[in-house]
Parts: sequence; structure tokens; C-alpha cells
Amino acid sequence: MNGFWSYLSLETRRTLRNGRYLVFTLGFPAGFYLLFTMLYGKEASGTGYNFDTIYMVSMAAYGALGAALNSNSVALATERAGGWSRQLRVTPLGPMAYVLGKMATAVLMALPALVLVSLLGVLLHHVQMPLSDWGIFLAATWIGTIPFALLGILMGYALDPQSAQGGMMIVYFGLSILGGMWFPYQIMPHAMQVMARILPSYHFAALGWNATSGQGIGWGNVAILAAYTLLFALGAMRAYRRDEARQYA
Amino acid sequence: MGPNGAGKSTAVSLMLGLRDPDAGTVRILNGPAEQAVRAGRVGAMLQSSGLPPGLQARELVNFVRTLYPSPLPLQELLAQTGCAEFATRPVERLSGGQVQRLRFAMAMAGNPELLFLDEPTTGFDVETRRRFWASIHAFTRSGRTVLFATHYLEEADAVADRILVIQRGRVVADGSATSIKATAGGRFIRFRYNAPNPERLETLDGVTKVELEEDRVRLWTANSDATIRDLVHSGIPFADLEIGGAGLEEAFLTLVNAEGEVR
Repeated sequence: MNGFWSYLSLETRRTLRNGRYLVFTLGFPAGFYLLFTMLYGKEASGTGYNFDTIYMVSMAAYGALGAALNSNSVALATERAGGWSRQLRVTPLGPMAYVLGKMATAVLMALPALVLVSLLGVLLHHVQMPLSDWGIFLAATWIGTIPFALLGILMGYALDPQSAQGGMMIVYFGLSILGGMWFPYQIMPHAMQVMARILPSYHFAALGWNATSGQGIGWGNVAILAAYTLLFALGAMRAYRRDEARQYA
Repeated sequence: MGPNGAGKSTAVSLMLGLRDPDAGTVRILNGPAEQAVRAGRVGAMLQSSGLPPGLQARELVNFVRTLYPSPLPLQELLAQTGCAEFATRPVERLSGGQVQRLRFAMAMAGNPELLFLDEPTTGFDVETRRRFWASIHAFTRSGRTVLFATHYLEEADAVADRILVIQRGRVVADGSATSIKATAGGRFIRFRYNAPNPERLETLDGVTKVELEEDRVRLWTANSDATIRDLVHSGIPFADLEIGGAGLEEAFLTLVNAEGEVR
């Protein structure tokens, strides 16, 4: 794992300076959270829960999902096409350290959104819950970004830069909207609820919704996310191997 | 050296372990290519490598340094490769020549034993090119090896100790610039000569052809040193002696075209 930490530190610095990252994964979730909690107040119709808390979880998950997905897909496709990944291959940084460094960056970069939106909830809307619930919410929503980081790697290896750009946007908005992060699952029409239950993003956000409503860990959600993690990991591996065979065989 | 499509970059890729050979094995520094690369004993400047945005030139160079077990000191590296003047500029705002210098700095960062350069001076102006080769010379003086691919013949002629000409993936010549020029046409000796029976000139050591001009004679030779020695010893009268040779360019074209005809 030669160079893994150097690479992680480099990628982290790059990401934190990236305007797109700051706008999409910090600005939007924080802005939406402020906007919609002001519009709908304490009790949103039909949810039965405290909307300030529910939407805090939704937006934290939305930002974290964006960071995990965004960090890898387009950058990876661009670096493959532009030759940067090739240049790195002629240094002692191994191909595995490169991929794992990208993976770790994506997961690490999900943390700021999670922390920022949670802070807004606490400071502006006085969201309160037992420490153990905070712990489960934050840990689950952070660890739960792993399948999306893998999906980003999969797209980065399978697509060229242009299609990765478009594909990432579709996947990002599709997963977050249909997964119930923008509008509460409870007010969705039945057909959309069925759709949501198929998507990993719903089960990802549900980890936080469960935790913050005192229901602990949703093991059903965990199982489905684990299955998606395996699926995306296998897909990413396959795309990686195909790229290896095409470029370096 | 070789024309476009001769296999220069492919050869470099093979030697860096970026590609697997269809047949045979590649060994550099007494082991498989990949092993030498992973151990940080090799540096390389490939033909194109987009740089990741969002970093200063020095940050990028320093990152590459940290990957190697015994890198060059950062300041020394930046100064030596001509990157010091734009070290704090973001990589996305560098000119073409500056990017090329930055890539050179990344190749040198690990203080490698063996340095590969694939058409390194593309995009350099004359002064930058001169400084570039000066730093390469400083590098090789410390006992290390630089292997570079080029299509600038003057560069190969002026800089390289050994030249391999490749064509369609095969080595068609291997030697010093002088010996390659000699194999393809050789050198000539020209002098004023107005004695009778010029046939005797053909018997001089190394002479391959005698051409008579108005009051001069031109001897083509495979070994100009031997021919001159023999000429002096033979007592043949001569004046205004000149030595010249086919340029590397003619030699190159001869070699490459001859190979083309064979196919």
C-alpha cells in the first residue's frame, strides 16, 4: 500500500478546494435544509415526526451521498482518459493504492456534509435526541456511504468523461429524489414508494430516520445496503479489470 | 529514434511494465519492469499526462516525491528542472512548456537510477530545450542512465551516447551517432588531387568509392581515421583536406527506407 496516505492527503486537499464539491455537497444540502424547514415549520403534514429532525437526516444523507458518488466517478474517468492515472502507474504508487485512495477520499469527504447539516439542526432548530441515537445516526450515515463510493468507482471505470458527467448527475438526482431525501417518503405516491424501496439510497437515509426516531438500527436496511455494497464492489472490480486489460495488457 | 508509428512509445510502455509483451519477457535493472517501478528505481515522463486540477505545481511535485524511498530535496528539484519560477501557480494555469517542465520534475522526483523520456522536448522553445538537456547531462554525469525517444534527429545526434533506430517494431541500427552515420553512407574525405592514376586511391584502407571532381577527389570511407592514416603513409600528394559525413538525417532516412523496401 505504498503511497496510500500521501495520495489520500493529496486528493482530500484537491476536493476541499473544488468549488463544485463545496456547492453540491455542502451548499445545496445546507441551503435546502434551511429553506424547507423554514417553509414547513416544526410539523410537516402527514409525517408524524418532527420535520426539523427528519429533514436534517435527509439533507445530511443527501450531501454525504453526493460527496461519495461525486468524488470518484468523473475524476476517475477524466484521469483515465487524460493519462494521469497512467503517469501515476510509473511511480511506486500501485494501482490498488490508487483505487483505495479514491475510495477513502470519497468516504472521508462525505463527513463534512454530515457534520454541517447536523450542526445546523442543533444550532438553528434545537434538534435534540439521546447521544446514542446521534451516534447511530452519524456512524450509520457515514459508513453507509461506502456502497455509493463504490458506485462512483464503477462509473469512473466504465464510462468516458462525458458520459460519466451526465451519468453521475442522473444517478445522483435519481437516487436522492426517489430515495426520499428531497420529499418525505410518507407523502410519496404509492408507485414512488415502491420504487424507493428498491433503491439503496432509501435504505441509506432510512438508517438515519430510524436512529433519530428512537428505533435504533434498521437491520433490514443494513442487509439491503450490504447486498448493494457487494453488487457495486463486484461491478467496480469488473470494470477495473476490463480497463486494466484494455489499457495495460 | 524512429518515424511515427515505428513503436517508440510501445517500447517505452513495455519497459515500464505498462504493457505486457505478446512474446518474450522484459527485464530492466535486473528484474521485471514492474518490480523496478514499484521499488522507485525508475522515473518516467510519458508523452501525455493530464494533470489533476486544484493543486499548485510544487504540491504536485512534492506528492510524487513522497511516493519514492529516496527523493531529491524539493527546492533542488524545482530549481534543477526550471519549475521554481512557477512553483506556487495552480497547474491548470501553466503554459504548455511549463507543464512539460513540471512533468520532467515529476519524473526526476524520486532520484531514479533509470529515467525514461518519451519525446520530452515537444513544446519547448530553444532556450528551454538547451536548459533541459543541460540538466539531463548533469543527471547522467552522476552515473545514471537516460533513455529517450525522439524524432528530433539533431537532439539524438547532439545528446545520445547510443542510438537505436527502430522501424516497424524492429531495431534497424544500434550504435553511436557516428557509427550509425557510417553504416548508412559513411564519411568522405575530399582533397585537391592532380596526380595521375587515381585508381590507387581505391586501395586505401576503408575506401568504398572514389569520385573525381574537377581538381579534387572525394573518397567515401567506412573508417575515415584509417583511410587518412593510410593516405598519409602512402605518400600520395594531397592538399586542402576536408572530412565530412552523411548527416544523421540522411543516415536515418537511408536506414528507414531500406527497411521499408525489405518489407
